[in-house]
Amino acid sequence: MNQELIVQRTLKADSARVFEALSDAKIMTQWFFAHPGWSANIENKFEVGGSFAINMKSPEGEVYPHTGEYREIVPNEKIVFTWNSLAVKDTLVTISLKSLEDQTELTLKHEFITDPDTFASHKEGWGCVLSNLDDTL
Amino acid sequence: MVKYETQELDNIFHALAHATRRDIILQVAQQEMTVNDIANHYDMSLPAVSKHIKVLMKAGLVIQKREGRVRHCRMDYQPLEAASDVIQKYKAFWEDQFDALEAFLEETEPNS
Repeated sequence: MNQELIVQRTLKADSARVFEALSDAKIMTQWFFAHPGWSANIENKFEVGGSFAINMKSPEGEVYPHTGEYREIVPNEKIVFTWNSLAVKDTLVTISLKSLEDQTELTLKHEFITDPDTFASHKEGWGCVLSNLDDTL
Repeated sequence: MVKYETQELDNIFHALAHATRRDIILQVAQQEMTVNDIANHYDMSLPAVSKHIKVLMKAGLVIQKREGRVRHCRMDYQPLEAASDVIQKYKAFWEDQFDALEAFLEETEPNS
């Protein structure tokens, strides 16, 4: 088990366009949760300390709320925000963008155990317990 | 697969979000220990250590067995499995979102 996950993509658009698609609620609504039958209602105050609310609606009409607060914003490069859902609370998401000519490499890191100050020094020992888990399962 | 409720998952992540508690887990993962054994490793009071153990018990990560006045602690890995499951689901969730973003960027024209 890891305490975080990383997802990476290379997108065929420049970083300014990707950044806009990740930060402008009107544009986010056009793709976020844009799966057959699903829809999303998105509201955000895109500034450090500002909050967002994403209500994702299933084809059956069930609503799944997601909320959070922006922690760090670097135009065209980085967005850090907290993430709460029905499943998790106070998790941290970091999206980084890297320009590759006319493409953009997007890296998302989702951390589920958010205590960065003390985590680093215990990482090695902690890895032991987690590899024990792998043996146990 | 045991189905964990939100509150339980939150308890698990909360329990893991403290260095001392992660350290306690590392110890009891290796061998069963009494609360006093655990407390001897730390420069803090027995009630303070007990409090951390209670948080771990609430998350289901530590199971306690009483023998008279002695409390034995051992680790249970099952909550870690549940936490791991949520993280895997979130990986699929973000992959889905970026599939949609990729399609959106390819279908729409740049604004400029």
